[in-house]
Amino acid sequence: MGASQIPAASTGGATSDNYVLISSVTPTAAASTVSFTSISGYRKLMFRWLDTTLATSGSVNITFNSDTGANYAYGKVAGTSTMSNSQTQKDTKIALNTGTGTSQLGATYIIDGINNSGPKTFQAFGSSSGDTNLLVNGVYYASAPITTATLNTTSTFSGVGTVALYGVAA
Amino acid sequence: MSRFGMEINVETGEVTRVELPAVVDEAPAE
Repeated sequence: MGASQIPAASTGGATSDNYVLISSVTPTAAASTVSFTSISGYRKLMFRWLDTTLATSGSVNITFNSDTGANYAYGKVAGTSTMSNSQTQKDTKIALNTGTGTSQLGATYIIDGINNSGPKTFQAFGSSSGDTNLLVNGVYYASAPITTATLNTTSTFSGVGTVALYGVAA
Repeated sequence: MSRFGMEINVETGEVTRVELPAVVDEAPAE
Protein backbone atom coordinates (compact mmCIF):
# COMPACT_ATOMS: atom_id res chain seq x y z
CA MET A 1 0.00 0.00 0.00
CA GLY A 2 1.44 3.33 -0.98
CA ALA A 3 1.55 6.31 1.28
CA SER A 4 -1.05 8.04 -0.86
CA GLN A 5 -3.60 5.44 0.19
CA ILE A 6 -3.36 6.25 3.87
CA PRO A 7 -6.47 8.19 4.90
CA ALA A 8 -5.93 11.73 6.03
CA ALA A 9 -6.31 12.33 9.74
CA SER A 10 -9.71 13.59 10.76
CA THR A 11 -9.88 17.24 11.66
CA GLY A 12 -12.54 16.54 14.24
CA GLY A 13 -16.01 17.99 14.46
CA ALA A 14 -19.33 17.29 16.09
CA THR A 15 -19.59 13.77 14.70
CA SER A 16 -15.95 12.73 15.11
CA ASP A 17 -14.63 10.28 17.66
CA ASN A 18 -11.45 12.19 18.29
CA TYR A 19 -10.43 12.12 21.92
CA VAL A 20 -8.81 15.26 23.28
CA LEU A 21 -6.96 15.61 26.56
CA ILE A 22 -9.18 17.34 29.12
CA SER A 23 -6.82 17.21 32.09
CA SER A 24 -3.80 15.30 33.35
CA VAL A 25 -2.28 15.25 36.83
CA THR A 26 0.14 13.39 39.07
CA PRO A 27 -1.74 12.27 42.18
CA THR A 28 -0.73 14.21 45.26
CA ALA A 29 1.24 12.06 47.71
CA ALA A 30 -0.98 10.76 50.53
CA ALA A 31 -4.21 11.65 48.70
CA SER A 32 -6.91 8.97 48.52
CA THR A 33 -8.86 10.30 45.54
CA VAL A 34 -8.27 12.09 42.25
CA SER A 35 -11.47 13.73 41.09
CA PHE A 36 -12.11 15.58 37.83
CA THR A 37 -15.03 17.96 38.21
CA SER A 38 -17.08 20.35 36.02
CA ILE A 39 -17.00 17.99 33.05
CA SER A 40 -19.36 19.24 30.34
CA GLY A 41 -19.59 19.38 26.57
CA TYR A 42 -18.52 15.77 26.02
CA ARG A 43 -20.38 12.63 25.02
CA LYS A 44 -17.59 10.11 25.69
CA LEU A 45 -14.85 9.94 28.28
CA MET A 46 -11.62 8.00 28.45
CA PHE A 47 -10.19 7.81 31.95
CA ARG A 48 -6.57 6.63 32.06
CA TRP A 49 -3.88 6.19 34.64
CA LEU A 50 -0.33 5.00 34.22
CA ASP A 51 2.51 4.10 36.60
CA THR A 52 0.62 5.18 39.70
CA THR A 53 1.60 3.43 42.92
CA LEU A 54 0.05 3.22 46.36
CA ALA A 55 1.72 3.86 49.69
CA THR A 56 0.44 0.56 51.08
CA SER A 57 -1.26 -2.43 49.58
CA GLY A 58 -4.74 -1.51 48.45
CA SER A 59 -7.22 -1.48 45.61
CA VAL A 60 -8.57 1.24 43.36
CA ASN A 61 -12.00 1.94 41.94
CA ILE A 62 -13.96 4.53 40.00
CA THR A 63 -17.13 6.43 40.83
CA PHE A 64 -19.09 9.02 38.88
CA ASN A 65 -20.80 12.17 40.16
CA SER A 66 -19.69 11.23 43.71
CA ASP A 67 -22.37 8.54 43.50
CA THR A 68 -21.73 5.73 46.00
CA GLY A 69 -25.17 4.17 45.59
CA ALA A 70 -25.54 0.62 44.27
CA ASN A 71 -25.76 1.82 40.66
CA TYR A 72 -22.81 0.09 39.04
CA ALA A 73 -23.24 -3.28 37.31
CA TYR A 74 -20.39 -5.02 35.57
CA GLY A 75 -18.73 -8.23 34.57
CA LYS A 76 -15.04 -8.73 35.14
CA VAL A 77 -12.33 -11.11 34.03
CA ALA A 78 -9.20 -10.69 36.09
CA GLY A 79 -6.22 -12.52 37.49
CA THR A 80 -2.51 -13.04 37.37
CA SER A 81 -1.55 -16.65 36.86
CA THR A 82 -5.17 -17.77 36.69
CA MET A 83 -8.00 -15.70 35.27
CA SER A 84 -11.36 -15.73 36.97
CA ASN A 85 -14.62 -14.11 36.06
CA SER A 86 -17.25 -12.48 38.18
CA GLN A 87 -20.42 -10.45 37.86
CA THR A 88 -21.51 -7.63 40.11
CA GLN A 89 -25.05 -6.37 39.64
CA LYS A 90 -25.25 -3.67 42.29
CA ASP A 91 -21.90 -2.34 43.34
CA THR A 92 -21.25 1.09 44.81
CA LYS A 93 -18.26 1.60 42.52
CA ILE A 94 -16.47 0.10 39.55
CA ALA A 95 -13.79 -2.01 41.18
CA LEU A 96 -10.52 -2.32 39.33
CA ASN A 97 -8.55 -5.14 40.88
CA THR A 98 -9.76 -8.14 42.80
CA GLY A 99 -6.38 -8.57 44.41
CA THR A 100 -4.43 -5.86 46.12
CA GLY A 101 -0.97 -4.43 45.73
CA THR A 102 0.95 -1.19 45.68
CA SER A 103 1.56 -0.98 41.95
CA GLN A 104 -1.30 0.18 39.77
CA LEU A 105 0.51 -0.17 36.48
CA GLY A 106 -2.20 1.30 34.36
CA ALA A 107 -5.75 1.10 33.16
CA THR A 108 -8.04 2.64 30.59
CA TYR A 109 -11.75 3.16 31.11
CA ILE A 110 -13.97 4.24 28.22
CA ILE A 111 -17.40 5.56 29.16
CA ASP A 112 -20.05 6.22 26.51
CA GLY A 113 -23.13 8.40 26.53
CA ILE A 114 -22.01 10.52 29.45
CA ASN A 115 -24.24 13.44 28.44
CA ASN A 116 -27.35 11.28 28.03
CA SER A 117 -30.19 11.10 30.53
CA GLY A 118 -29.94 7.30 30.74
CA PRO A 119 -27.55 4.46 31.61
CA LYS A 120 -23.93 4.90 30.63
CA THR A 121 -21.89 1.96 29.40
CA PHE A 122 -18.22 1.44 30.14
CA GLN A 123 -15.40 -0.86 29.10
CA ALA A 124 -12.02 -1.15 30.75
CA PHE A 125 -8.72 -2.94 30.54
CA GLY A 126 -5.74 -2.64 32.80
CA SER A 127 -2.99 -4.18 34.85
CA SER A 128 -1.83 -3.95 38.46
CA SER A 129 0.16 -5.91 40.98
CA GLY A 130 -3.20 -7.18 42.22
CA ASP A 131 -4.36 -8.35 38.82
CA THR A 132 -1.88 -8.60 35.98
CA ASN A 133 -4.77 -8.85 33.55
CA LEU A 134 -8.08 -7.11 33.85
CA LEU A 135 -11.09 -6.72 31.59
CA VAL A 136 -14.31 -5.06 32.73
CA ASN A 137 -17.50 -3.99 31.03
CA GLY A 138 -20.77 -2.82 32.44
CA VAL A 139 -23.35 -0.13 32.98
CA TYR A 140 -23.65 2.85 35.27
CA TYR A 141 -27.35 3.26 36.03
CA ALA A 142 -27.95 6.96 36.40
CA SER A 143 -30.09 9.52 34.65
CA ALA A 144 -27.88 12.54 35.29
CA PRO A 145 -25.08 13.31 32.85
CA ILE A 146 -21.60 12.60 34.21
CA THR A 147 -19.93 15.79 35.37
CA THR A 148 -17.46 14.28 37.85
CA ALA A 149 -15.21 11.24 37.50
CA THR A 150 -13.20 10.03 40.50
CA LEU A 151 -10.39 7.53 40.97
CA ASN A 152 -10.49 6.24 44.55
CA THR A 153 -8.09 4.06 46.48
CA THR A 154 -8.48 2.23 49.77
CA SER A 155 -4.85 3.22 50.44
CA THR A 156 -3.20 6.49 49.43
CA PHE A 157 -1.34 7.48 46.30
CA SER A 158 2.44 7.77 46.40
CA GLY A 159 2.73 10.93 44.35
CA VAL A 160 3.94 9.32 41.14
CA GLY A 161 2.42 8.43 37.80
CA THR A 162 -0.24 10.11 35.75
CA VAL A 163 -4.02 10.23 35.87
CA ALA A 164 -5.61 11.68 32.75
CA LEU A 165 -9.05 12.37 31.40
CA TYR A 166 -9.84 12.55 27.68
CA GLY A 167 -13.14 13.33 26.01
CA VAL A 168 -15.00 13.34 22.72
CA ALA A 169 -16.92 16.54 22.14
CA ALA A 170 -20.70 16.36 22.21
CA MET B 1 -6.77 9.25 60.48
CA SER B 2 -7.82 12.10 58.24
CA ARG B 3 -8.12 11.40 54.56
CA PHE B 4 -8.04 13.85 51.72
CA GLY B 5 -8.38 13.92 47.98
CA MET B 6 -7.42 16.17 45.13
CA GLU B 7 -10.05 17.79 42.99
CA ILE B 8 -9.34 19.15 39.54
CA ASN B 9 -11.83 21.55 38.01
CA VAL B 10 -11.38 20.81 34.31
CA GLU B 11 -12.97 24.09 33.28
CA THR B 12 -10.67 26.35 35.27
CA GLY B 13 -7.71 24.03 35.85
CA GLU B 14 -7.88 24.79 39.54
CA VAL B 15 -6.62 22.00 41.83
CA THR B 16 -7.92 21.92 45.37
CA ARG B 17 -7.54 19.66 48.38
CA VAL B 18 -10.76 18.23 49.78
CA GLU B 19 -11.23 16.50 53.11
CA LEU B 20 -12.79 13.01 52.93
CA PRO B 21 -14.79 10.91 55.37
CA ALA B 22 -12.57 8.67 57.47
CA VAL B 23 -14.43 5.48 56.56
CA VAL B 24 -13.02 3.40 53.72
CA ASP B 25 -15.71 1.63 51.73
CA GLU B 26 -13.97 -1.71 51.57
CA ALA B 27 -16.60 -4.24 50.51
CA PRO B 28 -17.18 -7.20 52.81
CA ALA B 29 -16.17 -10.64 51.57
CA GLU B 30 -18.84 -12.24 49.44
